[in-house]
This record gives sequence, structure tokens and C-alpha cells, in this order.
Amino acid sequence: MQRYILKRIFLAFVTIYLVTTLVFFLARITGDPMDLIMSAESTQKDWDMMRHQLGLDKPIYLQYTDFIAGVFIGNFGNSLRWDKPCLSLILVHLPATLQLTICALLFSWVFGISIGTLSAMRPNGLMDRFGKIFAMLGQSMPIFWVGILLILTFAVRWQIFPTSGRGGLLNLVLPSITLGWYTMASMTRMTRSSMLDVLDMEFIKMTRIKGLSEVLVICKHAFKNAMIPILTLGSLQVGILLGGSVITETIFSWPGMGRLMVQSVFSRDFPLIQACVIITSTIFITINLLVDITYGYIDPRIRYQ
Amino acid sequence: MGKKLLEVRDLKTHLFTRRGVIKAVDGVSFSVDKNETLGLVGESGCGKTITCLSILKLLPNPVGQIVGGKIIFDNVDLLSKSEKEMRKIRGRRISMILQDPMTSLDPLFTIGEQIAEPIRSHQNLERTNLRKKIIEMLKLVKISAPEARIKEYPFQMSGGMRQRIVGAIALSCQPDLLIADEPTTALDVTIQAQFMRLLKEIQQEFNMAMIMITHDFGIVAKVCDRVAVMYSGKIVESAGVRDLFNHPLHPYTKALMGALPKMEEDMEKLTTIDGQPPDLGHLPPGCNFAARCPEVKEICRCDSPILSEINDGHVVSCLRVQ
Repeated sequence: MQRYILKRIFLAFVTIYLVTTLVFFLARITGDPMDLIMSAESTQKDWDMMRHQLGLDKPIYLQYTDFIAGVFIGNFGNSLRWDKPCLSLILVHLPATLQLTICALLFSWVFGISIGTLSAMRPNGLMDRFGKIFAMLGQSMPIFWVGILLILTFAVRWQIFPTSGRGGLLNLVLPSITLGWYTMASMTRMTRSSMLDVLDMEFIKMTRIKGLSEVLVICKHAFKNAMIPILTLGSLQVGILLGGSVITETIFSWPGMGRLMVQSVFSRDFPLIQACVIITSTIFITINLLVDITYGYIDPRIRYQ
Repeated sequence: MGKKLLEVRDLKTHLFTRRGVIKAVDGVSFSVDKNETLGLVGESGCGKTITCLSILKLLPNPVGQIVGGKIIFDNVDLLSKSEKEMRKIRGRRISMILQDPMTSLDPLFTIGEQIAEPIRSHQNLERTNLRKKIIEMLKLVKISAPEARIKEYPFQMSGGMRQRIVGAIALSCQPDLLIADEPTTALDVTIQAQFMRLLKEIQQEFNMAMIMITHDFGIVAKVCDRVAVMYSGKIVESAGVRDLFNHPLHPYTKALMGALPKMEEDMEKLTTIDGQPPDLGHLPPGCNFAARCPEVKEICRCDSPILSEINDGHVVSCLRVQ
């Protein structure tokens, strides 16, 4: 088990390094940030001065080594657009994104897993039919439409929740549902099919022969066996939600990382793009690492390999 | 013969599938006395397993339904029991061993935990006593070094060992009746004999009745007191084991025995029964075996035979014999 964990940690670092490098070069393919920074009437001298000031006049391999060296001491450089340290910009926006992501995940997992489990317990039953419609709606309705519908119904017509902005708990409800809507649908489907597979197994029949209660059969034996695909999907969803909250953040004017990232791409703000990607991918990879370790705790066959 | 422990009367279990109703068990009656071993013999798909799952009321839901008959266990009709009451009977009074030991243990829990579960839900034992009981059960099924094995997982064990663990689980609450559904089919031949001997020993120690589902007449001869032969959802012949081997009456029983390879004869080819078992969803009129029967008469194709006693304890359902 220890070797398994060490191997995973090592691979996690390799992945983060590769992502970092890739982003460094990809960002530079999009064009020259100078075009956006400099005004039309600036002279060649102004250009050269600015370029030197931003460190963009150095050869690309030197820019790269400077950047990597900076990352190691936690210095992501200054944003080209806002002229502030990238890290402090991110730290302002990150809590909002994390809060929204966690709430959306909780919403989609709690509902997805319970609807999926109940559906699998009685295939073609009432819950299963309801769940199927629910999952189909979830997977086919675009996020922006769900968000607007929710605002129209719950914020404008019934005025239960605020329409936008970050604030108290009430502000969290509509954005979380909007963001978690799609992931909930796929979680419902994954749980249902995974549970159905497990419930068909002979050892589940054996637990009933033993005279165990249905709660123990479902929650202890069936659920633990159905966990691995559910966890895998769950860890992927963390990534989808962390990076994919741009639309939701825009609809609800939520001051999160998603919007910051899009703005940084539009303004070719290289240091900020790099910093955003490093931070989100580190979070994502850490969660994947934790999930990999959890596999080992769930399944002894992985642990003893 | 002792007192009747289980009596199944005219049991009808149907499977309601999309393609129609399948009469998997169609009017089956048999009984098992205390300490007795009944062999339930027949080819695949004849309803042996469905019969036994009906006794435990663990049919695939909602496909399998018991539509008629009585299952009287220890003077009480199990069909009138609620699910909650059935749970107290399962594992404690009636238990079952499934066919394939590779799939009947949960891969994610230690074998100690899996043996502990039925004991925990049926008896009140504190931790140290529970552990003692688990080790005792492992010793009973002849697992060496039980103290160490308790923490192991199913994937660390061989097929024969796993089947003995399943045995330990099934026997952990000393049931009155053990149903063994082809317990040795998935094991190799040397382990088969060992496992059957073990079951027989434990049966004597516990004063337990057994229903042995099998298609192997060798096992029947070794462990059973009485045999019931099933064909397409019905019992076609039932008799004491000696009686059946010496005087098989039903053509199907004769054909099954004829299909056994014999050591003393030098056979080039194995004997088989021609044809296929009938489709249980669309049974023809008359005797179900008529289409494959070597001794068929005209009447067999229109009249259904009923079970009737030919001599003491030997019943058969064949128009030709009656």
C-alpha cells in the first residue's frame, strides 16, 4: 500500500509539471500580449521598453526557466493586465469558486447517488421512471438555460432566492443547482448502472440468505462494491466543475476563478493564465490522488497488488 | 424415518418475463424429514434452484412469484410469513450454499466479517465470544490456522477453501435445514469428494436436514437418503435412494442413469438423451417428457400423468407405469 501511494504521489508531481509546461507554450501560441497592451499611437521605443519591462524580450527558453524557477518558490509573477501578483488575484477569487464547486458537488452527489440507488433497487419502478426522466433532462438541458429558468422561477416570480451575487447561504442555492445539474444527471446514471450490476451478483444473494436486513445488503455490501466507478466519475466531476463554472459564474455574477481565467485568456495575460491553470490543476490532481488512495482502502485487491 | 421438517405441497412458482409467463415450478410436492438428505436431481433449467429459492422466498423480484401451494416448515406455512419474519428464518433455521464459490463471497470484506454477519444478526454475542465462534466455525470446515485466516479476503483463497468458507457462513447459526445448490459443480473432482464428506460429517454433528441439488448421480448415491427427480418444473419420480437406483420407473430417470458413464464397460461414446427440454413458456399438452421419451405411447401425447405411489415411498408420474 505504501509503495502504491508513493507511486501515485510521484505521478501526481509529474502530471502537474507537464500541465505547467504545456500551458506555458500553449498560451504563447495565442499571440502577442503587446498588441493588446499598447495603444495605437505608441512608438517603437515604447514597445521595446514595455517588452523589456515585462520580460517578454528574453529568448523563450529563458522565459521558461525563469517561470519554472518562480513556481518553485511560489512566485507566479505579476499579471500583465492588472499589474498585481497573480497569486493574490487568485486568492481573492478562489474561495468563491471552491464554495460554489463544493456546494454543487454535494447537491449532485447526494441527489445523484440516492436517486440512482433507489432506481436500481426497483428497476422500472416509480422511482426508476422518475429518475430516468430526471437524468435525461439533466443531460440534455444546457447550463445557461437551467440557470435562466431557475432565476426566472425562484428569483423573479416567487422571489425566494436572490438573482445574483455572492453573499449568504441563500445566494448559493441557485448557482449550486445550476452548476450541479448536469453532474447530478450523470451521477444518477452511473450509480444506477453500477448498483444494478452489483445487485445481480451471487454474493448479494448470499447476504440475503444469511438473513441480513435490506439496509445492510444495500448500504454495506452493494454500495461498497458499486463505489469504484462512482468515485472515478466523482473525481472527474471535480475537474469539470472547477474549470467549467464560467457559464454559471457569468449568469449569477459570481466572482470566481472561472471568469478570471477567461479574462486572462482574452487579454493574453500569460502569467495569470499559467497561475490559474497551475492552481486548478493542482487541486484537481490532488483530489484524483486522494481518490486513487481511497480505491486501495475500498478494494483489498488493489491494496495487496 | 423421523418427523417431517419441511413439506412442500403443490408449489407453483412462475417467472413473469417479457416473453411471457414461464412455469418454472409447476406443482411440486416433496418433504424432508429431520436429519434426512433429499437429493433433487434434474438437468439445467428444470426448476431445481427456483424451487429452493422459493423455500427461502428469495426469488428474483419482481420476475419470480409464488402463485400457489404451501411450504410448511416446522408446522408453519412460510408463505404466510412477512419479509421481516422470513429474515429471522433465513440463515438461522434454513440456510443455503450457492453453486459458485468464486462469486458467492463479497470480495471487499474479510472472511471473518462475512462469517460474523449472520451470527450478529441472529444471536447476541459480545465481541470476544463472536471471535471465538468465528474461529470455531473455521475449524469446523477444516480451515487451517483460523486465527490468521480471519483477516484474509476471499481473493487470497482457493476455490475449495472459499466453498468451505461459504459452508461456514451457511452453518454459523446451526440451521435445521441446509440447501446445497450444486455445491461442488465449480470445484475440481478431488476437492468435490472432500467437500461432500465434510458436509456429511457436519450434518451428523448438527442433526441437520439437507436438500442436495445436483445433476450428479454419484453424489446422490453417496450422500442422499431419498431422491426426487425433476423434469421441466415437475417432480417425475421420487423414491429412497436404493429403490431408485435398483428399480427406476420413469423413462427420464432411466435415461439419466443410462447417461452415466460406467467404469466396467468400454464405451466409445457417451449416451445422451435425444432432444431438448420443452420450452417452459409453451408447454405442449400431455406428458412433458413425451417428445423425448423412448417408451412413449399415444396416450402420453394428450393426457398429463399425475404423481402416484407405486409401492412404499416410491412415487412416479408416468402413464405407462400406472
